[in-house]
Amino acid sequence: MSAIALSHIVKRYGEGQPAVDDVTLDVADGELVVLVGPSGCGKSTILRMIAGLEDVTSGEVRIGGEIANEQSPRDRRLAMVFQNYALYPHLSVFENIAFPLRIAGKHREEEIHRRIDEVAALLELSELLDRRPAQLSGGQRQRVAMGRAIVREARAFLFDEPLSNLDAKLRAQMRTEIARLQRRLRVTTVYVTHDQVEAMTLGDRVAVLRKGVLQQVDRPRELYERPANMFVAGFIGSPAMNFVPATIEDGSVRLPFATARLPGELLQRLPARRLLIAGIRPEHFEDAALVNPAVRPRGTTFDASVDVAEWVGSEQLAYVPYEAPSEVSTSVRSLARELDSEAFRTQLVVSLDAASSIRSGDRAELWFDARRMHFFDPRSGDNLMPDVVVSA
Amino acid sequence: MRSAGRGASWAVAAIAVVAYALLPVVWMVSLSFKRVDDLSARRFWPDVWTLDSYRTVFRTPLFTSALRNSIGISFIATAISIALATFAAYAIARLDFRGKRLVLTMALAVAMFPVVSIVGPLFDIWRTIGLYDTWIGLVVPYMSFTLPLAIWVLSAFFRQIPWEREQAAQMDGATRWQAFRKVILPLAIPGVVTAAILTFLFAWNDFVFGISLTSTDRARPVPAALAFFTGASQFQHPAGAISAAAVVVTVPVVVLVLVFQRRIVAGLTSGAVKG
Repeated sequence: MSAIALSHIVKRYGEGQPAVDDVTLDVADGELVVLVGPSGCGKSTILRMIAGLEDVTSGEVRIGGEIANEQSPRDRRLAMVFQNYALYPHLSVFENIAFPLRIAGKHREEEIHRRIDEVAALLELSELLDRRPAQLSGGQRQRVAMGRAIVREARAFLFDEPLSNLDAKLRAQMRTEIARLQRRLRVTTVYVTHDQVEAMTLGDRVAVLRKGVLQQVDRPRELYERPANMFVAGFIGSPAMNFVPATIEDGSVRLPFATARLPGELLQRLPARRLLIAGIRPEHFEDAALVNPAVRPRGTTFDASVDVAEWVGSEQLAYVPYEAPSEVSTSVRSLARELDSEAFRTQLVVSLDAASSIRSGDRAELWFDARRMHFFDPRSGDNLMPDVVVSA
Repeated sequence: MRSAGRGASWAVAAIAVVAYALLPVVWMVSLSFKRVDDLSARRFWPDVWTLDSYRTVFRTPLFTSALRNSIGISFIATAISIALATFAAYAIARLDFRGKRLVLTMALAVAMFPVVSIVGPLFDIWRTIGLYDTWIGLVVPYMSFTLPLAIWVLSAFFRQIPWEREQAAQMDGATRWQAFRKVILPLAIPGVVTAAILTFLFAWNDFVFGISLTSTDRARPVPAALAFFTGASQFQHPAGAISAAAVVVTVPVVVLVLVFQRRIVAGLTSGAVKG
């Protein structure tokens, strides 16, 4: 087991913008770091550079302290699980898992059998050892791929979107299984996914990437509570954070649908009379009727007409359109294009308690705590107060 | 009604085509079982079925040596051609190297090249360097003409195998060579078999090189040898013996094709369907 350290790595295919641009990332021994981002953000490329399947244009990859840039994949002694599992169709499950041991060529037959029995028991594959990969279900193939990775004492595990070919239910199940396995084996792991739920639930730390540039590396909770910029804020959390135009005037924040008071020490740190972007998570709204009276004065209430309400049992999602001054909405929209974000619609997504009686078409009183808003610079997208966290 | 009528006309057409194609073959088989004296009798089937012609054929050194030559030369040409084609196709499918397009274009050009046009020059060259009337003298042209086809068939096969399989093998600690031998090659076996059969058939069926580049029993293959057949004695009509010999060399081809029919079709169309 070893730490993995990337310093200033760049991957360039031909001319133009690099696919991976100056990424520096340390993965501690035994840690699980998730690389997450939309497709084309370079996360898989980074993983493949760690694996040695892709050359590094510049920068340094260190595995277990030694520079690995020029090492072949086999010399790096890492194990990798591929998105489509990449099982060997001509070999049985047993031989698939035994492959790394047989290649190494220094294990006796009894030892191979013993190890595979162990791994098979761990992954509940014992019944399937004689089958061919073609006879297995997606989840079973996934487990064989994992078995092949853990049978050998690899220095680290690399996962390349291992769950994206499974259906939703199986995905959730395998996700917890991977988490359990990793906690148990404590092997350094780099895990690539485009699914922020996977990232948040699995990662000791999560690295968010966009267009080859590392946006933020932090513990899941930090990412959620202190996003470094609008991209991270919009990417982490489901449904996505609402972004609304805001201006600071006379000690309060003017939003298109409400004016909220903010504590003085926060206000001081925001530039006055300039267009800002305020970010409010859907789950930080509530049906005013259901807010604890003791908490209620801390927040702001406003009237809203609920366009559509979707009741999903555990919560209720409501869509609230709002009127924005036209000049503001045009400038916000052009900004949205620059940031290629879909999040700017003049509509709030609000997550309410399932007990709320608000229905589609109702006029309702909603409540939110302005102190939990994030403020972003409209030009750079940076969080203006990344260090402020208000707990509920 | 309509579909039944259509089925019937299809059946008629199919029978007509099969009859047209097989009639000469059946005639050949029939001749090979006739007694020498009956050969000129105007009957389709033999009155008396006999193996005389086969006995004659296998007693003729001209034929037995030719059979030995044919088998030996075809197998050697196939083995070398497939070995080379496998490596070449792997390189073309997987590696990026300068002149890759050139190799593919050349291969195609060679495959298109009319065989007859190089027989003359080859005859002169072989005479000069001493390859005339030797096994190698035939193995080399067979190999050169079958390599392109084998390379195309095999590289289509290699391209179908997801690259990730090989990368998985490398991650599992395999060298490139181990990954090729233990993962890629077993998966490409259908392609290798297809290419091998096509190569073998080319070499086995060849007449032009066989007749032009040999002069004695040393290297003359069966198709060429058939032309020199005389039967049991000079005074006998050789048609029966020729037919028997022809049947003997046709049987392996038919068996090969029947056994591997589906493989060959799959192999030939694999590249075309799944790019």
